[in-house]
Amino acid sequence: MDQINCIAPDAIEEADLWAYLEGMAPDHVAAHIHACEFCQQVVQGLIKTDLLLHEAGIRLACPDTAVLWQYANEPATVAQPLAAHIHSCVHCQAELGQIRRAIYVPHAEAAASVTPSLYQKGKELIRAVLVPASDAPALAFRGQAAGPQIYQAAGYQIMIAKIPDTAVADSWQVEGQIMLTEPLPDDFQALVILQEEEVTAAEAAINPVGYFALDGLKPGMYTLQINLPTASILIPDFQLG
Amino acid sequence: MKQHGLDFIIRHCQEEARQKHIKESGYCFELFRRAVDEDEELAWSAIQAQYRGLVIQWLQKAARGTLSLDDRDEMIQEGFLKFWLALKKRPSPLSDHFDHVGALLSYLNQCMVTTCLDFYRREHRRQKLKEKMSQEFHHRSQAQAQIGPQKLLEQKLETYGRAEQVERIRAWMRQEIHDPAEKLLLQLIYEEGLKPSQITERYPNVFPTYRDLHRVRVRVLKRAQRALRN
Repeated sequence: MDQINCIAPDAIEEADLWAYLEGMAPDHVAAHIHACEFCQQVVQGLIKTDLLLHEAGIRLACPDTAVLWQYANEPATVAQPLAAHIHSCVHCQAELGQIRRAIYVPHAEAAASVTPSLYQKGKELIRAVLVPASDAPALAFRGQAAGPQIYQAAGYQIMIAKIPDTAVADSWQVEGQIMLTEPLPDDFQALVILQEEEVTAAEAAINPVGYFALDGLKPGMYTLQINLPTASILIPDFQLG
Repeated sequence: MKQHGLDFIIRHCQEEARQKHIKESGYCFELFRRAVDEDEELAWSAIQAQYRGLVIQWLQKAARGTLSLDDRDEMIQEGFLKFWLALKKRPSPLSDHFDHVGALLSYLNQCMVTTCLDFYRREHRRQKLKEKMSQEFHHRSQAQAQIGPQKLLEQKLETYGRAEQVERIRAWMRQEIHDPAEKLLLQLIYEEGLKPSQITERYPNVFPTYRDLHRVRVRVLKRAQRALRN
């Protein structure tokens, strides 16, 4: 293919090319472009690229969904500027909520699971993420507890210790502390509920500063549900013993 | 568990999937472990086959309407690939990150939701682009019409739906533009959709005249063209 060149390279400037597309170019610019195949191709290329940038520019400031996914599971690993955007963007918040609600419920339990009833109440249900042990600070809890586990959900940090009851064989206690920036409202009954196969095994009130305790628990696999004013937090597969 | 053959693991995983979670014996987790930690392709194929039905349910729930079969199948393929890559990115064994198969499947569910979200983000961009293109065509000047409506239409059809190019340009726009005037222009024209008259009115210090705006715009477009060629 023969390479074509501009018929008069000094006739127009680059800015003239876009002015021509906007219909704002002087007559001699339009005349040159009409006569010059090379410049026509350049203009066509600019239009094509401009449309591409328009498509690419939509929600440009929003991080990719992979970052939202990472934030849903390991928020501390997402860089602060991105985390700040996620907090402030209604589109990202909506998508993040959808990702967080993607909890797996085995079909054998789905019919009577706690999840649908919470959805029916219109409250957002969020599955807590366990913070890796290496990232959890050393903390003191009573009794002979192993190091407490730390969960994160809905902006809360929740420390939970599982303590074997030294007085009663095969009996456990669970102590928890929710990190609150302000006390829980007086008119809201914050509860923690321990369920085994959809049956409530134990429940307790969460005091205004976020502390709760459950006693006399049998070893087993439970679901722990923490009802707070702004969200219900779910910790499935909560093993005791 | 490791001593069992793959067929045995697959069979018992299928039975385990029908039970309540407290009756899990670890067969399904073992299937994932073999696929991810030991790169057993047959184990990965078995996982995709076993959980395809569940994935379809998740996608239908996440979708904002009815998905076409083509879109759905494309999402399933993309989602499983994304899930695989996310698991393989972790340097330590699967059991370091997931306690049981329920946690893995929640992660897979999240992965499918993000795949669905990607689909809708692309659709949203294409819709916005179509609106922009129809506006541009409606207001197209005589000068543009001289180039030929057929050529313009061909350009539009070529541009439409080039997902990979869009992603490359997005990365370029985020990472490679450092000149303040160019950054401002990208934000005002391509993110906020402002017209040239609005830009020169609001930012006379940066773009005193239309010519200044045109100059920067052509410069950015030519740089974008070079970025796409590289």
